[in-house]
Amino acid sequence: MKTEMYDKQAVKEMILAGKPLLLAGDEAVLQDLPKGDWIAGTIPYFMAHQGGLCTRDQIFVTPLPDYAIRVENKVYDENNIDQVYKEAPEHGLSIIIIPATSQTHLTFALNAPNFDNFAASPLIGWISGVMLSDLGKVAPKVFNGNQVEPLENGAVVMHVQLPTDKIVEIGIVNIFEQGAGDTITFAQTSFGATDAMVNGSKVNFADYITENGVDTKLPLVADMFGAMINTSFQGVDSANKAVNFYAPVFEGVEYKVAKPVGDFVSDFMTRVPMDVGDNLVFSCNCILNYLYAELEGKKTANFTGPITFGEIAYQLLNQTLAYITIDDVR
Amino acid sequence: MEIAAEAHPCWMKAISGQGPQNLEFLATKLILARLNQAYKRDASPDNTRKYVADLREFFHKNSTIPKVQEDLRKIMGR
Repeated sequence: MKTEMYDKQAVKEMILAGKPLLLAGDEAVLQDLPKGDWIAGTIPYFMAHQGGLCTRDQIFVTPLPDYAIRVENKVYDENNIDQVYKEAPEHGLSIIIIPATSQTHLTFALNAPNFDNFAASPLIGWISGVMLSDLGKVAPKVFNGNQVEPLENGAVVMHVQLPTDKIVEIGIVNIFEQGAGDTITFAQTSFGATDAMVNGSKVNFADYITENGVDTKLPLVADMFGAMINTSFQGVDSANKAVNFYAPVFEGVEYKVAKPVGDFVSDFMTRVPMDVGDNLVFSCNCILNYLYAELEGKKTANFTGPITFGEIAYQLLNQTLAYITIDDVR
Repeated sequence: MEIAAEAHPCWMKAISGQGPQNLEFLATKLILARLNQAYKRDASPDNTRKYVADLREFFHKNSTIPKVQEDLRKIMGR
């Protein structure tokens, strides 16, 4: 069974055959699926094998490898999402989907790096969303295949136990890197900021963005021991002199506005790891990359999957492709 | 690969940001970033011991992963 777009009837048959599945699709097409070992999130945008695609009629299916020993679906909310790493299998991986703007999304985004056992085991996933024309009208949702009813708040997690001779690795592809400009820090971990320290001087960050003509399609980038971690701009609220983000900025972390990119697809291709191949199990890419780089109809190597309102590779990311590979111990 | 004892100076260098900056494994990078931020906020001896314990535990749990082994080598200066 391939990782691919399928119609609803084919997905029903896979579920009834007992295959553990990760699903992504529009809410309507995900409704009324049979109970089974699956989790799903709502989104109508995808990186399909034929390229970027928007459809409400099909479901993107990621089957788990046959060698998975055991899968367990679990639902968390903002009160217990801090247990997600502690409850991960001793050897395996966990896949998580959270609805955008839900309380669980906010709690995870702000606090994941401080959860017990943070990043001690692989956690990958995404933030579910909606058709952009439905923003504010329809709530993003997630589904736990054991219960079927959609959730507007909560995190569905599939904990997957693997044989001990398998090695799991989460990777990211980020076309952005830090520019050569100012160093920016924030006094609080938050999805929004009024003030910032720019090269050590306190400024109103909204004014700074406006006065310096910062292109807010470019994210803020933090260099975390070689990992370039983005925080994307949601908007500048000039009236309230505030800046809002799609992921938190973290207290004390040093950010720089990203260096402009040329052509997204060619830049992306230069950063794609060449050694992934058949070991690639799951990947997802950001809606902002889809929009800003106009990815509809364009291919991004063999990385396919949902286009998301946020990517999770241990913690929440923005404007990044996240993926997971499983290899044999050598 | 043997993991250096808690008292080895490599751990303090790592969590204080004085150790190697370009690591291989994404989780190592993110854990070190988290511990480095925590250390900047609170470098008390008790918490510092906890940061070192967390980092050593990560390496212990993921010791079969080649990129983690490479990160451990870099941190231990070998």
